[in-house]
Parts: sequence; C-alpha cells; structure tokens
Amino acid sequence: MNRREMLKQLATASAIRAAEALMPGVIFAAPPPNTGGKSMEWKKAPCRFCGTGCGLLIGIENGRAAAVKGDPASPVNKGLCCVKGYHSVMALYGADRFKTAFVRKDGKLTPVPVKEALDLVASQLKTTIAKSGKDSVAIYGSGQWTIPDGYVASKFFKGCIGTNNVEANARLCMASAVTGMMTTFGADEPMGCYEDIDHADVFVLWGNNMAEMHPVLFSRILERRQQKPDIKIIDLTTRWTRTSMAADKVMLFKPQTDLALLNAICHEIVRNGWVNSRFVERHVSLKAGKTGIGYGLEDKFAFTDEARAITFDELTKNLAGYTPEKVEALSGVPAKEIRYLASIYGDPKKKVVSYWCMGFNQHSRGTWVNNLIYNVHLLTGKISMPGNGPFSLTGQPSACGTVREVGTLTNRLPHGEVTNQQDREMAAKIWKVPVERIPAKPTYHTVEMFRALDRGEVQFLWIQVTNPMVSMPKLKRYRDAARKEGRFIVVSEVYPTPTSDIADVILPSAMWIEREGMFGNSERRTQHWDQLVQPPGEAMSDTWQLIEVARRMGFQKEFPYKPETHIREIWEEYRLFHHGPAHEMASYEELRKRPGVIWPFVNGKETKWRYHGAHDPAAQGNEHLFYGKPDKRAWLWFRPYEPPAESPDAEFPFWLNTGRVVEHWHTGSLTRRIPVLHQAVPRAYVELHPADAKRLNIRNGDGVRLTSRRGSLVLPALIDGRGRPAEGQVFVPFFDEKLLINEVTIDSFCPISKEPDYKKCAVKVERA
Amino acid sequence: MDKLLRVGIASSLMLAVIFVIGNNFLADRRPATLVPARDVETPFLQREAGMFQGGAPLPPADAEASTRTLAQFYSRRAYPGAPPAIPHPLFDKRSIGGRSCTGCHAKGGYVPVFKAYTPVTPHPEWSNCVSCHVSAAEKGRFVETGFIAAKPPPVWDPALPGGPPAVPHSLDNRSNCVACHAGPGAVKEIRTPHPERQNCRQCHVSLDDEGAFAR
Repeated sequence: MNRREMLKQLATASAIRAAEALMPGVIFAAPPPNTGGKSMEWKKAPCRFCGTGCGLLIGIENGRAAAVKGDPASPVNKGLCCVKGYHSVMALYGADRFKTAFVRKDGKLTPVPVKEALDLVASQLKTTIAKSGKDSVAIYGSGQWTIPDGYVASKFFKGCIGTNNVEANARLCMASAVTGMMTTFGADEPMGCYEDIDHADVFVLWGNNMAEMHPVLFSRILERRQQKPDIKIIDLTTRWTRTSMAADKVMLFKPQTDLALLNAICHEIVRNGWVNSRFVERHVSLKAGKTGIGYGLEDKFAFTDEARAITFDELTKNLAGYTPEKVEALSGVPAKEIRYLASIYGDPKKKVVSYWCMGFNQHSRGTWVNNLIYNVHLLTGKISMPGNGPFSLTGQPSACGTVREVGTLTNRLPHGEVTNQQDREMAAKIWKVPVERIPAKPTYHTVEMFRALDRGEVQFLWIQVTNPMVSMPKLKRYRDAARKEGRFIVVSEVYPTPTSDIADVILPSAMWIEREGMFGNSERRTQHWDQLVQPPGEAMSDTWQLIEVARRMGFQKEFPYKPETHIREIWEEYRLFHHGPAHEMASYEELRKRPGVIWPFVNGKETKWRYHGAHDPAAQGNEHLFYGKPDKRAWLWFRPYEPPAESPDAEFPFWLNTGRVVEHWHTGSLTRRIPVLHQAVPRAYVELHPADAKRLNIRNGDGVRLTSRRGSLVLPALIDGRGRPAEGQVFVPFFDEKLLINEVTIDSFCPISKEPDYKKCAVKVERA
Repeated sequence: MDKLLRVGIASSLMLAVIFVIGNNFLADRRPATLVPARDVETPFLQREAGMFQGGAPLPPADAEASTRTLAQFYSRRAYPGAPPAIPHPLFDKRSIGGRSCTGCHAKGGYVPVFKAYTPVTPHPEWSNCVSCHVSAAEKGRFVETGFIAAKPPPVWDPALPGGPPAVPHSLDNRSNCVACHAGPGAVKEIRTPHPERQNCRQCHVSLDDEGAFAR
C-alpha cells in the first residue's frame, strides 16, 4: 500500500466512525481491505537483458519489485516475455548485493563510504594522468550502460580528460555489425524493424540460435508461421540447436564457410539473371578491399582497408570461384541446397528477412561476412521494405542505444568519428570544451586496451556494467595483466564477480529500475523508464558516479546537472548531436509517454524503414536513397573466403564453439542469482556429438578435458542436450564463472572491426 | 454538551470529507500513469471444446487425491503470474517444446507415471514453450535471494456476498479460463463449480485494469 492509499483509507475510516457517532444505529459498510495484488502498481520499463528490448510492466508492492508481466502495449513483444524477462526483477535482490564501496587495503577489499571511494578514484585518476599522461587512463563499459551512463562517460573521458580510451563490451559483441553497416551503408544500425516479421515470407537465420537468444522474436515468427503455413524458416548453422528443431530447413555448414556460402548465393543470383539490375544500377557501387588481412594475434596489430572500385564483370569473375559445387566441397552444404537458398533470395515474389547475431559478428572475418549478407540483399534489391531486408540482431539491451549511438568506442563520438574535424567540432561545441582537447586519433580497441594494460601503457582502468574477467578471450593473459603491480582497477558493480575480485576500488551501482534511464534496442527503439524502487544502501547509478568523479577533477562546469533532473538534462543535451532527419531522436516527454520510439523520429512519426522514400524522410521521396555514403549508394564489397586464425589439426583436432543458453544472460552474474534460472542450468557443460562421445568413451556427465594452445578446462559432458554440435566440434556456454571457457579461447579478431572470434578455435578433447 | 459533541463530530466529518475529496482530486491531477491504455483481444467465448476428449488413460479411483493444491501451484512460480517451472524431466530436450509439451498439456488427462492429472496450458498456440518454462533440474542456489514475491490474490473475493468473483489476474496468455479452472487437472481451490457454463466473462470480469471510476 502506498502513502496515498493509506491516507485515503485512514480518512475513510475516520469519516465512517464520525458518521456512526452522528447517526447511532445506522451501520456504514467499511471499504474492503487491500488484498494481495490489488495494492500493486504496474510501471513500464524495457527488459534488463538482451537487445530485443521487450516492454515489461513491473509490479511494485511496498516499494519493491514483486512481479513482472509483458507490456501488451509494446510493439516489440506484444505482451510476451521470455523466462529471463519474467524473472528479471529477482536480479535486484541477490543476498550479496554491494551496498557500500570497497577499497583494497593491504591486499584485502575493505568496506568504505562511497564518498571516500569516489575521492580516491578521482585522486588516482589525477595522479596517473600527471605521471603517465592522458592515455594511461581508460574506461571500459558495455551495452548494459544506459544512454546517460555512456554519454557522460564519453563526455568525461573524451571531452574533459582528453583521451579516446573509451571502449565497451560491444567491441566483443557488435563491432563487426557496426563496421559492416559503416562500410556498406556509411551509417550504423538496421534499416528495418521487428515489424518485418509480420510481412516476410521466408526467414533465413545465419548462425543464429534465435529460439534461445532472441526467444520472443522467434515466438513472433513461429506465431506468424502458424497463421500462414507457407512461411518458411531456414536455419544456417554449424550446430544443431532448438532453432534447428523448429526450422523448416536446416543447412549445417563447416565453421567459417559462411563466407563462401554467401558468395555462392551471389554467384547463383548473377548466373541465373536474378539480379535486380534497375536497383543495382541506380543504388549500388561495387567495391573490393584488401585480402590476406591477418588475425590480430600480435600486439599493436594494425590494419587499414582500402576500397577499390570494380566493375560488374570483375565481380562476376570473382564470384566464379564460388560455384555451388566448389562451395559444397568447402562447406559441406549440398550444391542442391545452396541453389535452393539462392532461388529463395532470387525470387522477386518472395519477401526475405535475414537475421544474424554473434555467429557473424564474433568472426575473424566479421566485417566481411556482414558485408556479404548485404550483397545478397543488394543484388536482389530486397532491402528497406516491409518484410524484405537484412537485420542484425543485438546481444545487449543498449548496445545500439548506448555504444553505437552515443559512440562509446575509441574511434567514435556521439555523432561521427574522432578522426573527422567536423564531428570533433560539433562535440566540442555541445560539450562546451575546447576542440583541441578531443584527440583526433583513436587509441586502443578492447583487446588492445587489455594488452596495453598488460604492457603497462594503461595503468588506470574503470570498468562499469560488464565482467571482462569472464568474457575476455584468452582470459589468463588479461587477468594476469590486471593483477600486475602499478595497475589501478575501479569496478562499478552490483554483485561480486571475477572482475570485482581484481578491483582496487568497488563502487556499488544502482541498477536498472533503481534509477532512471534509457536503453536503445536492435530496431532503433529508444525506451525510457523511471526510477521505480530505491537502490540498496549507498548504491549509486553509474551516471552519477561518473559525474561525482568528474566534478572532483574540476569539471563542475561540464557536469552542471541537478540530481532530480539530470537524466532529462543529459538526454536533451545528447539529443542535439542527432538533430536532423537521418537520426532525429524523440523528446524526453515523448519517450516517457510511449512504449519506446524508433528513430529517426521526425514530425512525430517513427521511421520504420530507412533509406526508402515511402518511410524515411531523409530519403527525400526517392524510391531508395542510401544517404550514408557520399555517392548516395550502398557499397557492395566483394569479399573472398579466408580461413580462420586457427583450424583443427592433428594435435588439436576439434573445433570449439562458445555461446549462451536461454536461461543465462552474458556472464550470468545476474541470471545465476535468479533461483529459477540457476536451477534450470546450474553450471556450464561441454556438448559433444554422440558419435564423438562414443569414440572417446565419454558418457553424459563424465568429466571432459578441453585443451587449447591457451589453456585447459574440465567440464561435464552433455550429449544430446538442447544442442548437438556437428561431428568434430564441441560447444560450451560461457556464463559460468567457475568453469571459464575463455581460458581456452583465442584472442584473434576481425582486422576491421577488432571483434574477437569466440566461435572458432582448435581444441583437444579427452575424457578427464 | 450534547450539542457541542454533535457540532464537533459534524465538523470532523466535514473535514474528513474535504480531505478525501481533496486528496482524490489531487490524485487525479497527477501526471497520467506511464502505462498506456491496452488493447487486448480475447475471444468472446472461451475455447474448451475437445480439451478432455481423446485417449487419455483411465485414472484410478483415488486419482482425485493427487490433484495439486493451491500451495503447490504457487510453489512452482516465482510470484503469482510468473510462468511455472517444469517439475519433471523434459521429454525432448532438443526441441523448443511444441508438440512434445502440448501432447499432454493441451488436452490434460491422467498420467500414471506421475500419478497426477496433467495441468492444461491456457495458451497452446505458443510453441516455443521452453523459452518461458524451464525445468527445475536442481534445487540449489547460486546465492540466496532476498526477493519477496507479490502476494497471491484472494481466492474467493466477490464484491457482494454470493456474487461472481472477479478475475484477479491478467488475461494475457491466460484468457482460456477452463484450462486452469475446470477439470481434474485444475487446482481444487480455484476450480469452478459450474464448468458447463462457457461464457465465463459474462459474469466474471477482469480486474486487470484497475482504477476507480472517475468522470
């Protein structure tokens, strides 16, 4: 019962008593007492977990979050959630929440008041900068940052301190999607939206276990197929998953050969005359880039691509190496099935949406494979129209909203790139800082930032809302780096994690609905929520932690926001960066009213499909206009097949693939504290193909040792659980901090996006 | 003296009335709640035909004794309205559920292996069952939780004595009343005494959209 209701009831009760005294003998009926459920207030918030961005209604009872239901008014999920969403509020109430700050004293983390810890963080920042320069301090966040968190982090580090050492977990997750979009369209984020599901005839899922990773969107697809049975789901995968079980057609391909498969589809589209010539002539430029581009395994690896214009004949000649027969030999997918898939993309009467997520992004040629899926849609002109288009799904709730739109990456600004003079001038003007202070050169991408920590170039690292000591590949090197003498690690966290274990200072964070904020989901939808409950103890939002430290460093003028209104002030300031028809954001008032708003939001209208005049005001009435590139065309890049950094050999004969399960989100520090989810999948395991298991004499539950060139780990075997890897492959989920599969993975990355390949490395498999 | 008392009571009554009206007036003037109006489409008539038809095994004479209690019903849920966890091993771990779940849970009936009646799903149209319902493989906890669930709604709470009780829960995904409120698979405490009547919401209205009437 809230205060208002209690006062109301007290008043009614006293009125009744008074009336009874006034009129003796007359009985006045008391109102029914407040009973369970009825005192509940329901408030909207986007889900805390994946990039789908489901709308939730949170039931608040006695000042605590006590229940969840899907928001039927949300166009994302229309009232449905997945098991994580339904139980999301339980993540607030783990018994080991950080309620106060901790500082390492004599090697031990000791509780201190938050104020004292913030003083220490600020003074440590100042002394490190004075001693070793601006580029010796860094901040590392994630797509779990709210938009205001990321915005103040960027303003503080890039605009005030003057270093581009701002990175985020999204580098390990979405970077290839960004570089794919930027190289092809010159503008980030998908052209379509989830409403494509209501229009498409065929859904092609590329390396994407949507049934577990984006379950609510997958349920929408299944619901639609139920209504219209000729709708097809085609699953392109290296591992048989729950998605495969529900698909109409499954094509199992060998790791990395998606590059060749996509080229084979383009080859067939060209050979059969299925190219939409009118579209290609008007809207597409043909390019080729460098080849043999490396794997980033060495420190200070550098690569810059170069675009070279090619003719259609050159493209055709390049594609000639990718006949279905040749690609069958490489990929294991029968030529007949490759032709079938090409005919679906090539049929002008069929509307096709392609979905992908980590299978493409965490790929040693992540940018290339993103380019290639665009090639298929560009050749056929199936893009930027309801039910037709490529759609890159996101993993984190605000990977798009914060990391990609606010630009919390070393090379990005809230609008544009640090290398661009105009973009720097815009940032300096809005931030009211001298333009010279924003460095024109990017510094370290994530893997290189942790390598720099190892080398001693980075000495101060502030980690917020992420858990790199579980999620970094080739983990041992980076954990040892963080523990080295002369490194100062600040961790803003809600629970103890392997990352808070290595901290010198832990700042207790107010999470999700314990503070006001905004997330931006995969379909360009920005969603606002109010603070709904009080944070525990001294916990403080990451936004306010950053503001407090910035002010202690003398940047009061740059961070003038009031505690009661700071989210609104920050939003209205940030919105200035995106003014204009290509990226206009909704006002704060509009965001509070609606169940999310898709940008560009121009004249009160959302832009559901970009680059098409019928929907997008920035396309200026043209049928299609790819305004991101200077020539107003989409760039079709020829990209060849190249092998990954490491393939199985005689010593390490298995492929190792890593990923998630529906119950756990990212590194599990939240979902494992939700009893239902923990009980469903209490620990990590290694999935084997039954034939491999039989050959190695491994039965369900047996200990299995996985060994790579980087490390070794023993896990329980799971045979024919929810997934079945192909023969010669194993799969391990990465959520378990006690069974850290990233001790084994490789830190090779896409040379363009710098995103590591968590899906492929070579391991030895033995019965332990 | 008596007069004074009456005046006193009358004035305190007036004050109370002013307070109640004033407080309500102020409450109405607060910014509108952020939850937008909903438009949930639910069928006018409930669908139950066929639910108990088919070749379910004949239950033993004492089968009724094994029916779930309301306490058991809530023990499978993190809070009232949460999707229940699956208390038995999955029959097909590799699938998303679909027919491997609805084979039993769409129709109901007695299951000798579990010595129990199958609970019937109110939403057999959703096939990605395991995206919401997960099996409780183990009992342990990673870390203790301080979560306090919402209290269950009262079971029999008519507005007037003898009147039809209102529906105390949301109807999203749970608009098929008889699935949970009729038949031997239903929890005893919430079973309808008149399963033969099919137009449930002619008498039982949903309290989902709360709020007092105001002009």
